Amino acid sequence: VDVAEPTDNEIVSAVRKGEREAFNTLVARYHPRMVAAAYQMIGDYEMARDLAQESFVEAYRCLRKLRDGALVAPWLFGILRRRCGRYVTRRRPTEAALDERDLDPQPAPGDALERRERERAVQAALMGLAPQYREALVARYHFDLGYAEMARMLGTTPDNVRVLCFRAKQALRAAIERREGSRS
Amino acid sequence: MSCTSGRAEFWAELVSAYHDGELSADQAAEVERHLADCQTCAEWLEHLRSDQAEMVAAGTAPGRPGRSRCWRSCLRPR
Repeated sequence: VDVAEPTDNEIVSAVRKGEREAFNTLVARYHPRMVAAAYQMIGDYEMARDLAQESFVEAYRCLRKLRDGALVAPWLFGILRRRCGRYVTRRRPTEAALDERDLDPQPAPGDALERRERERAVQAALMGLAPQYREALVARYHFDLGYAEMARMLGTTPDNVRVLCFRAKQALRAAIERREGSRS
Repeated sequence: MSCTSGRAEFWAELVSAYHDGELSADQAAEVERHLADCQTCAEWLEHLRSDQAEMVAAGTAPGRPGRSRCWRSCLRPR
């Protein structure tokens, strides 16, 4: 039997009706991308997990403020973004911190090692970008936010977001190429 | 090698919006026609796609520890 997954709107409605367990579904759906997004905005995986968790707690407590349940993704990202922003203003991420915290306890074999190295290089390149570029890339790539949604969040126009995303992608590509060049 | 149109920045930005799925059908068709003729812009699009895939993978790398604490524990009265 093909049982359709509940929509975000249906989940939010259920939580509002007092079905607290429904919030678990929302957490399961968004937890991986919340942690990934936070990690790629701040560069500290353990802190990213904490910030994602705190964001879910805030979301649960403030769910009444969400006017349209279908817009839960940008709303969650907005909460996470504010928490990451506050964290970053207290402590700027550094590449050294990233390298120390990201070392795997067990080295991966063969292709997995190469893939992991590549992922580390991309993450390091990302952490070298301006915060607004990292934020734009995370909003696009992890939350699939459109230009109009991002514009509302940032208090700007979709045209400006289009330019921001373009510049962010250019900056990431340049950073990756610089790292590739320095290794060859 | 550079964009065949001579307007590299214009097309690079348009290809970026195309990659984001933010163009109208007419604009997207125009970009696709350009991509068929311009290797530089086609390579830019390939880079955008691979950078996106690698960035997402880097954020959600397999083998990372999962959720260690239940969010519900944070909701208990303090």
